[in-house]
Amino acid sequence: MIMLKCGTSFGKVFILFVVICTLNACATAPVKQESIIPAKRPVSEIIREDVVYPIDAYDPWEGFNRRIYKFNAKIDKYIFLPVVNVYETITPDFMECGISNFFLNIGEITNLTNSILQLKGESTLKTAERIVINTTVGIGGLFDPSTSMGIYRQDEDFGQTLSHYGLEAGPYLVLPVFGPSSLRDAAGLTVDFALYNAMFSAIVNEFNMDSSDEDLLNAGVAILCSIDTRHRTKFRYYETGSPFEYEWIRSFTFRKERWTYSGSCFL
Amino acid sequence: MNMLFVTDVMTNAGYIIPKNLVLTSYSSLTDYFKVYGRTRFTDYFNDILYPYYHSAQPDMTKKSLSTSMSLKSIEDYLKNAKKIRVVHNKDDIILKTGEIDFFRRVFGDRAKIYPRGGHCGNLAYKDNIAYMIDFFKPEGVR
Repeated sequence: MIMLKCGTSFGKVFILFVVICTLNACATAPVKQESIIPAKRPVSEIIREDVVYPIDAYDPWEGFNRRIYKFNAKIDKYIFLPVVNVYETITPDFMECGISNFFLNIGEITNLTNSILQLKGESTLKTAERIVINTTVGIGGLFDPSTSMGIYRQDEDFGQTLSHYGLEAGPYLVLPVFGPSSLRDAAGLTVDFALYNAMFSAIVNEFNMDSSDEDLLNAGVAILCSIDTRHRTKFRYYETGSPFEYEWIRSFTFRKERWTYSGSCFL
Repeated sequence: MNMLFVTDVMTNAGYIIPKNLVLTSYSSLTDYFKVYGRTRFTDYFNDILYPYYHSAQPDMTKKSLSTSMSLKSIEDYLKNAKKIRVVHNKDDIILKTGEIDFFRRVFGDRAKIYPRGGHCGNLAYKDNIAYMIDFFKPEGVR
């Protein structure tokens, strides 16, 4: 109003400018830009720095991990689950079982190697028995008679081996597609993965195929193996019904509790 | 805990999450988780639930809010509501004395009370699951 008194066009333009800016600010300023008021029960008063809480975890890359977690949930929702749903619809249950058992049997190489590396006699023996029985009586691993005989699967991976020799889990790490892990277990996963692939290539080599057929078979098997893995994994994103799902999953991961079903399949 | 968090955020109550703080999918909730875990149901009632109702109905007291939420206040309705049944355990820690009698009196044979099982332990009891599933079956199928 004071500016209006000059009566110059500059003054009018300036007022107009001020008015537009003000209106603009009114229109666009989000409500949430209001100043942040400390909570009535603030973290600083309730939580003590010197106490380790059960939900605490070493997660220095939390921002990154939370982004990957959400990314994985989307991939799962839009790619994996639709594919698995189609797979479960068109594949008879006994075939799904056979496929699961087959890949689980190849995966025993991971259990065997890591049982040996950790000098676990009982695990090594049981795993060796399982491989022999399931590959022969179980027709190439399609069936799992070992479990019916009371010889149960011994889950051992290279992450556990590293842990056995005293390597700490390190920071929490959510891997793209593979999901929650730790720096140590992620490193272990690459070793197990390489071993699994070597094992599979050795099997494929037995068939003396030409290389283009071999590539095609490898690709097909990799896809089927991924579908089967997701089919066996009962976990569904955001079905905990908890706003703290990220924290819960992180906690379970460090406690080595498995929510994946790694047992064999029976009908 | 989940209920408390959602109420706190959605009403911008500023109870445990600072007022006006915008949370995204990428915000760390770990410290808040710890505080929610150390907040009792009575805190929720006194600090969130009661103030919320009180602001809309100034004559409401804590006592009247608590009474209006109790099953006793809808006893007459429950007595005749055939579509509602009760499954409970006698030794459930959330029960106060006399509450099992209330279920028996109001629901009659629509109340199934197990002698043991604690809080929700009957959900691991096969016969009970069969009983519950049977109840939810459509009339003709049962």
